[in-house]
Amino acid sequence: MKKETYKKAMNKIKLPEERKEEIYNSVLNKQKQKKRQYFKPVFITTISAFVILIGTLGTVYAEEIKIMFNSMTKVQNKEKKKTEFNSSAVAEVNYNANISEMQYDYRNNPFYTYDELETIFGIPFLKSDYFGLENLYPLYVRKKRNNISEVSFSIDNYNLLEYRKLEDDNFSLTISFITKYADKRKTNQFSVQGTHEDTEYYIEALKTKAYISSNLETIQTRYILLDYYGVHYNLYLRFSINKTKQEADEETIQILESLYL
Amino acid sequence: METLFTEIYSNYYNDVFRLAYSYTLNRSDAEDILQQTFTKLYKNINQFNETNKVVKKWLFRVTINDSKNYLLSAWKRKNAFQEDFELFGIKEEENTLFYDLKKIPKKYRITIYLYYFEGYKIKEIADILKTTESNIKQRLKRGKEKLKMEMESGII
Repeated sequence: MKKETYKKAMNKIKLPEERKEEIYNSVLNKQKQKKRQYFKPVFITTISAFVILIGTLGTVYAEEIKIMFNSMTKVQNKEKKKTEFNSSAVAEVNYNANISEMQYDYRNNPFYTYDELETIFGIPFLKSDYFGLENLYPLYVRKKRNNISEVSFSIDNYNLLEYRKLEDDNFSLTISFITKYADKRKTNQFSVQGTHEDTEYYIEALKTKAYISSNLETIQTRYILLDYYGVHYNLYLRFSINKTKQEADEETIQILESLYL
Repeated sequence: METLFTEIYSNYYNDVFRLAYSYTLNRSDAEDILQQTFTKLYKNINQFNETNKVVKKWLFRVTINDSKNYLLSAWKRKNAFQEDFELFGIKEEENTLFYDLKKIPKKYRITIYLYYFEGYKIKEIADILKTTESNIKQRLKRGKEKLKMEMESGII
């Protein structure tokens, strides 16, 4: 391969013009939004302090002060250091499942329905109307001495072959499990770096906890992890740039509560 | 402040995108990293008073750090860079370059990119990547060996 070929090919890597504008606007708007959010607790703090100072005795606005402290605590929770989540979920499945080993190959891998996978592996998987019941594709299927050891499938709410726009919601649900035949009973480890905020959410519909990590530096992105009956689920939610943080948070909850077996 | 930010963005958004793409070989990831990098620039814009080579190096350093952090996440992003070929207008005979690049470690890939595409000297690359000049020479040598690139002799 010649140097000129390399340079010529790399020269073609360019950000489309419309994306240039979108990302530019997104950066500016986000910073302006943050400035407004910063001033809100400062404003509330000032007002609260004023109320106390003028001596409105016995009329302490507890709710405003609570809001102030909640807001301030949240700001302090914006962390840059790595968060790690370790899943030790191990599933009991049909170890002789009639499915070949495979690696991700989005052009050639077959698609599966939930029905088919549940029949193959003999266990149910979480599903949601946000994704439908078809078009699950394998990330990997691995065996150990012909027994299922590690499996991962994914389903998206968008077409992988199509251009994704920042105005769209792009969601992916990844279903993974290891069995007793996995080489090490290794944990599914997940870590998030960059400035992010982590919360726990108790999913009423499933009676289980999920961990939500929100990346604060990119477009509304949420990484969600939960283990459910020996299976590990990763949800990647990338919300439209037109949505506010609150809208994204609310919809995240809706998606989690929509999960069912 | 916003004027300077706009100017820097206009001058370097493509360079940052290309660098992030060289690292991740994924268009969506590269766009996310681009946004992160320029968000950091916005927050630190007071450090700069004009758009110049110093700014570009700063941007590259941030891009590389953000790219590393991004990929450290165990979230397995689908590697659909084949769809990128059509978007970028890359011909079939050039496809193999990206498959080859994907095979070599990222640190070699980035060093090759900074040296042969951006035209940085060894010392400058060492400064951007926060490592020694001898490391950079090693990475270039090994990267080329792995890529089996034909280069002019005596470059290093």
